Amino acid sequence: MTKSEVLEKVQGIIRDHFDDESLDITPETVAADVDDWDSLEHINLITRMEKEFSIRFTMKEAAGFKNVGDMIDTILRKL
Amino acid sequence: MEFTSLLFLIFVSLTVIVRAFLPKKAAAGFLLLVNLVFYCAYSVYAAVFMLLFSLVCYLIGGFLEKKKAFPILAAAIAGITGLYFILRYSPLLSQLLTSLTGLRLELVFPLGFSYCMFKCIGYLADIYLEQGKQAKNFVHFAAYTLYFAEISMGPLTRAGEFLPQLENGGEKLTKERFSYGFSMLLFGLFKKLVFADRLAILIAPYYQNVSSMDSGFGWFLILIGYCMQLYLDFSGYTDMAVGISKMLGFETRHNFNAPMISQTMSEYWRRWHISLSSWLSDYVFTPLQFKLRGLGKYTSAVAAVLTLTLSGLWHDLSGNYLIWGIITGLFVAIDSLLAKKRKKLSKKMPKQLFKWGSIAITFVINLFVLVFPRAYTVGDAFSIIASVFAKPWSLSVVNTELLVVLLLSIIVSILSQKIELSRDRYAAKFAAAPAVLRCLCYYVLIFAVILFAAANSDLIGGFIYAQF
Repeated sequence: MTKSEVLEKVQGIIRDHFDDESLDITPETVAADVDDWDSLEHINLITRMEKEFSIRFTMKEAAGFKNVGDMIDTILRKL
Repeated sequence: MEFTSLLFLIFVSLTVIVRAFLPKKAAAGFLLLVNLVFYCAYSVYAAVFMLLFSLVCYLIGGFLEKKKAFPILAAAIAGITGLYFILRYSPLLSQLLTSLTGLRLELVFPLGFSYCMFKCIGYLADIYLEQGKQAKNFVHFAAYTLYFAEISMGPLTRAGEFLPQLENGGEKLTKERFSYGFSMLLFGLFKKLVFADRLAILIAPYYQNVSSMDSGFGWFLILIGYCMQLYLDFSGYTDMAVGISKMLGFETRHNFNAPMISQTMSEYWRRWHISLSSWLSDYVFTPLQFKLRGLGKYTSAVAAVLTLTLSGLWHDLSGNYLIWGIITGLFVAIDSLLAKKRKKLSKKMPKQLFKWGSIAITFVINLFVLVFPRAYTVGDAFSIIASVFAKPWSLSVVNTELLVVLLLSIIVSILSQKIELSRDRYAAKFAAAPAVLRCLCYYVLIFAVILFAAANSDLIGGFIYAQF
């Protein structure tokens, strides 16, 4: 998959997870940009990404995501 | 040195004055020296112990920075927490050792070891996770871990926030910093001595003898009284700590953000004792969530119960605190499971009704949850809760002085929380106000403390959270 394909899929997952099709997700998007994306939802989102991409994040990787772009880069490395 | 003692206030004044004349590069060394003077006034042995403890953690940090080995981090955390429990329950252990061996051995829990422990664990975890780096040198590290303004009750400022300030030498004392810091110091003293201590004296007899209040309404007011006492005591201390730091040129974390307007218990824990709850969230809750993510939608709920139960046990290894931790965890768990339903309900109801209804429900839930840490036994706690509902709601048996102090405490709490919601705005307005007006405010607070500080404040044994 290319980076833009991963971003498109990640956007779809986030939109579905937060039930908001209007969300515009970019590599610079952070949790604070999305309503309800708090610490309780963050892990659910991480788990969903793992399932959708059939990968497994380490604790260090998940703790180190500064924005969606970091998440996408890590996903690409694991694919 | 009690925070509310004249000796401490003289100590802080001298520290601020000397610090104002020092060059930036001397800030860290001076702060460490001041920390040690403060600590030695409590106990020279404890000061040496804390210094050695900090040194060991600093050396482990250096090792972790070169080799990010999880077993080293795990062993360090296990060692630190093991030492914490040994020292925390040292009187029991001393008794056990004496009865088994006949030797008289006295271990003492050093003042502030709890917060020092949290700082060191967070520091080491940040290095391992590559979210922080080793302190510039041991002087900087010990100036951070033994920081006198935070050592006994927090706030728990992170290494990544404080160490860079030490490296930079802190900020110079300006009119704005002084006005902000001094007013916070005075307001904190005012909240603690005039209201928190007085409420404590008025409600203590009822908790000592739970059958002494025959009115359900009376008990309800007493529960509100304890809620106000806890908030004014703890936020009073934090205001003092933040104010002192401000005058010394450092920024520390605030601990409260209007907790009584929380609409859920989860939100309450984001607004109350923020520095500790965010520490628990980052270093306990999040790793637990991650490890338990196979539980699907129950992940956060289970992690919340475990984290808050641990938090309860950190406060005290007793039934009261265990139940308090579990109940609080369950409420946060319920929040996480019902979050989507709650959001749907909020869209169906008038906005203000939903908001204020949620605030009222959360406030009342918290009143009952707080019975457990305050009551002397679990049995007393259940008896108090039952009394609120079972006893007649009569106003006549309620002490007039308690009513008056309670009402005034509620007003002060509301004012305090309004300030918390817009700190910078109020600070800027105050700093820009004419000097006469600012001095008038200082004098009013000082005289209020001198004239109205509760008698027998020592009855309370200092600030509530210092016992942890």
